[in-house]
Amino acid sequence: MASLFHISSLTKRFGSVIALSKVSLDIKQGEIIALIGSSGSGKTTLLKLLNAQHKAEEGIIKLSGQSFDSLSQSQLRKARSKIAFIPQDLGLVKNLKVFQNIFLGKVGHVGTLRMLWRFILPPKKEIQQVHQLLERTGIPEKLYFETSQLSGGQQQRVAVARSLYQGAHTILADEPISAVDPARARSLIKLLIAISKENNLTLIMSIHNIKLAQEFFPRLIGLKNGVILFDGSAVDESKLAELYQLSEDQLNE
Amino acid sequence: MSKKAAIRESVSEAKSNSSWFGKKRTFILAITLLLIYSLHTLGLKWSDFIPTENSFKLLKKFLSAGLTPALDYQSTGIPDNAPPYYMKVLTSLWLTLQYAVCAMSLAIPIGITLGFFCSKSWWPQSGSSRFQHILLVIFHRLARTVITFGRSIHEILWAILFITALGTSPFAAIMALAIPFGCTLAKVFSEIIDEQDRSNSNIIRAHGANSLSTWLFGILPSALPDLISYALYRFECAIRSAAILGFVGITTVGYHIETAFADGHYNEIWTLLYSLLALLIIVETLSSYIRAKINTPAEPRKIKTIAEIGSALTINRLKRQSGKKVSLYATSLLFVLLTLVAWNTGEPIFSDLSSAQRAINLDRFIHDEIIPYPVRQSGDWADTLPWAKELLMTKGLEATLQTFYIATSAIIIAFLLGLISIPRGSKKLNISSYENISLGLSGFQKVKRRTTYYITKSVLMVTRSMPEYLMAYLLLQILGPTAWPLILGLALHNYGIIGRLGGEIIDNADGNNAKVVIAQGGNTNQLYLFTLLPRVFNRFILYFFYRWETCIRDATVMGMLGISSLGFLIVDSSARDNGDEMFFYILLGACLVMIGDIVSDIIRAKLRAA
Repeated sequence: MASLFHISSLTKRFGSVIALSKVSLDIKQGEIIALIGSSGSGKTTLLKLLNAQHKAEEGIIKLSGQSFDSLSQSQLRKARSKIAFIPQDLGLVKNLKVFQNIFLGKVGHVGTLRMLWRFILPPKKEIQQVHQLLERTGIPEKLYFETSQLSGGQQQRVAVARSLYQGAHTILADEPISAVDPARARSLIKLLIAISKENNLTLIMSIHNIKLAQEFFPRLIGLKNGVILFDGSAVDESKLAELYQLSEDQLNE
Repeated sequence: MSKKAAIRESVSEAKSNSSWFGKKRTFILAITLLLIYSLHTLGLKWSDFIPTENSFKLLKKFLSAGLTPALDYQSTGIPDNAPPYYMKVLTSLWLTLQYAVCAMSLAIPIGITLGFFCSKSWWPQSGSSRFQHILLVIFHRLARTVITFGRSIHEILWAILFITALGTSPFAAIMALAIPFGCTLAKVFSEIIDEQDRSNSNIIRAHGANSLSTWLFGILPSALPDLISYALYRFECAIRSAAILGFVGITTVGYHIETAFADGHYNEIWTLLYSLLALLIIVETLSSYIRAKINTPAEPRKIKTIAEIGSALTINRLKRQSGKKVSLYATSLLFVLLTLVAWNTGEPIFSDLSSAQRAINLDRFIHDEIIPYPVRQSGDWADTLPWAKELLMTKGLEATLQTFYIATSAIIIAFLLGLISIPRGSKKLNISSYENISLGLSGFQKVKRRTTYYITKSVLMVTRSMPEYLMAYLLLQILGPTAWPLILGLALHNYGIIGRLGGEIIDNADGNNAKVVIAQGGNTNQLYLFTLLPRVFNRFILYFFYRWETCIRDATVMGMLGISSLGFLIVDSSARDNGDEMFFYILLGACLVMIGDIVSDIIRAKLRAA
């Protein structure tokens, strides 16, 4: 089976800082992957590169065999509209209603005017679909609430529903559980994985907690200082220990 | 390095790190000196306040009339078929409101359109063609120029220009308000939009949205409450400005106040003042109600569980149960209806003159009146320069400086008054304390504090509601012809605004330090001066410069009351039918305002960065 994302010797710098260095990866449709590593290891950068939010200096990144570099602006937008990205702060517009935030999942497919129309006079069919998605994520009663009225955990579920509504083939989630308590973290991971399996979506999630990653994810990718330390299902204890070992410099910072 | 030397070094480092602006003592000392210098240059003395026998009599008569506002015509010989007095008052109030509403209904679309082009937040991030980019830059520059120019001419001056060019008509009044208000809205709208957090727009772009969608759904929604809030504030200002357009011949409240004063009908003045104040307070109360509604999400009705209703939660049921801001819809509808009524009642927009006559007037204005006199004689535009230089050197420059000193004195007095009265007008400092820590007040002290609080609040409300020009006019009648009335009129109005905002900032400041000070036995003044004020002082200075900018703008017209400064030269040349000189002084005022804007913008940007 051909890979969905093909990355070879990808390097990304921010000024003089090297965020990713010669990273190579192959990701197939439907894979459930955890990206682990400490802060600053390059997890967020990798996710943003997969969403074509950044451009890499060197190396190739291909989506379904097509290089991001070869895409025109509108093709790039089209490619993005098929990839759901959940940032750490969720990126919800707080003073919009829940259903409006979910509608925004399709902002890349629907034209500006039509989206505006949907905001003002939501079509019944779309509302029903949003309602079903909220039922799946467990908060159907919040459909017409203002998003700021929801708790942090509920807002995460809105963000998940938004990525489902988007009709994407991939969900990229950047440390979605870092701000919630352990019980909620587990239930959110379970939800994301279940949803991805049901819809045959690729899920790539960056995560701090190694225990949770080992428990739920069949494939673990360890990043340290922009380099892949390990990539697979079973990981050596020694490698795991190395992942969070700080160098002399970092300790002195 | 010895320990002492290390401490000394760290202290001096901390000192050099804090900017010049951040130093409270330096700032207050500097503005106090500037105030003394400005007053001195304007030739003002404190002894100007000692009333002469005549002015004391007038003051007594005027103030005692305040207790018995007129309920009927004061003058005798009113024809039998004249409408009752209250109808006259209501008509002038309605006209004031009507012009304000009509003007705002034009100013808001102008503000949105120009504000959109003044902001760069909707520009494509990358991938736009060179041609597209150049087009965007041109639109941006053009919109910036238009709003700077439109704003820097005061609405009264726009009114004079329109009246001279087209004759007195509702159209002149509406356009005179709509142009500067539209441009001010555009400036503030674009500032609000540019200050929004960009994280939301990044995620919407990540969904593949185009740049317009990104702006519309990622930035605009979170900016909307602030945009509405500011538009409501401008609406209050529009009513004030419409009222003072009466001083240049538009028959709003100001017109009747001026004629009543000329006739010595002081009781009638008070009737008009009270009713204008009532209108402004009603509008302000309504807009703070709307602000509160917009900023708090609707409380959902009690959600019934599936068990309770015995069937699935249908979408319709959810919609019904979700909170609705009915009152918000009602007030929006009220505004729409008000706008419709305002545009469709009263005399036609173009009254008095036939359209042919208007065309002739306009033609004469553009092709004759405002052309510099020597150019009209010789036909050579090169003659403009010596003419302008002459005007500038004989009177213009001096008047411009006077205008500047008047504005500066006014804002400094307002700021210092505000600093003094803030602890009295702050709810937390004066009444409710922090987290209800007991202050051990006796019953009498509590009553005293409550009284000072409500008195301060009322004074602030009255002073910020009254138009500065109107206050200056009334003070001028009592204090006599010096620059004091202009300064005090401006200062009082700005004191009302700064005092209210300052109280809000103090009440919203983080109270953790305050709690400690109370727990250590500190009193209210210590709490204010040493704990709360240092925290928020930077914001106060920011606001000081913002209001200073507005003061300069208002000061360009204050002289129209007959005190030597730019406004006086404008009204003087207009009275002598010298359209060219009038236009020159108006442009000179606009230059002063623009310079003030630029300086204030630079200082505020520095303060924000600090």
